[in-house]
Amino acid sequence: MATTYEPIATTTLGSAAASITFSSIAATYTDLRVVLVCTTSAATNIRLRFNNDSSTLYSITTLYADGITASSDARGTLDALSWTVGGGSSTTIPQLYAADIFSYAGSTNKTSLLERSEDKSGGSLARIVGLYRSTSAINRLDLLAIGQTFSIGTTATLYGIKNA
Amino acid sequence: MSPILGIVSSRRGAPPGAFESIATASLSGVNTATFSSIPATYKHLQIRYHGLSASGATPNLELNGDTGSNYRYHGLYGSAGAVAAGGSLNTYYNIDLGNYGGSSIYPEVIIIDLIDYASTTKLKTLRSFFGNDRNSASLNDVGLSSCLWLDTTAINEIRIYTSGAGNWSAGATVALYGIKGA
Repeated sequence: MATTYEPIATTTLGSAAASITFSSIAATYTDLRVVLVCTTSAATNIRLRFNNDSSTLYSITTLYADGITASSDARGTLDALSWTVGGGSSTTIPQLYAADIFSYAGSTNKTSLLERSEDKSGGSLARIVGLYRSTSAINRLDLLAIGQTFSIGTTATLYGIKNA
Repeated sequence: MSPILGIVSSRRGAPPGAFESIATASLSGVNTATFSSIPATYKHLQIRYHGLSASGATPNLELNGDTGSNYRYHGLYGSAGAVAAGGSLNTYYNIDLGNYGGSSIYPEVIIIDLIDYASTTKLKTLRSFFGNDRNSASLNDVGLSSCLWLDTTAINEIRIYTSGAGNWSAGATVALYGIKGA
């Protein structure tokens, strides 16, 4: 059987950047998965934006735990999917962000499952469902360090997952 | 594929991989789909579900046609300000995969891993990560679940079906993947 989980592109920052962009994504897969391991110039929010669309078509529902308490939240009218639930990024401790973007090339609204794991100050994790209310195919992802920059050494990899 | 601001990027062809597509089913207009004759040549399985349903039907899972009370299920849910846990300690006839069903507009998505599915000596453990955001705080949910099938038989058939009589809508799909061992 054919391999169906393929690396599309990997980026390792050699200099600080406010965003990492994967563009001109082919519509030949069924789902996408992006994995980001980052530090930033100062603690900030990390967000995921589709098709360079900054209109308020995004919403999220979150499940968050910090080792002591668990909580949930829902946020709408966002200009990107917020990946940093329960705290910001770190200047020194790498944090893991991953997102599965389902049926990204299809004609339905786009639902994604996002993860965040960190052990910056006691540790926390978040699981997030994100909605992008657009039926357009996604051909571009922007990983954003809001108001800050991703540090040198930050890595991002985009994978494509095919169906039979 | 054009990574921007990446400084160092690479475009690679697919190496020989360990994640293979076994089968995909369109769920449009039906309320059940079955993957049968699943080969025992993988280490684990993964199901990726993209559900749309006008009736809000919740997907359920059944293994090897077993309709007996041989399943256990526990879930952790987040839903717009509330965190909850639930499940079945005792008898349960299938595996409930989500707190709410999807809508016909906003897909519910689920990733399910079936661990050591081909073992003939181990009970079968599953885990799932699911979510549905309808841009409506009262209807959204995100969660994790663990599931157990109290049977050591290798899994060779998986049926996914909706609770109630509702069918899935256009655009709903479910795909089965095999993950190879070393």
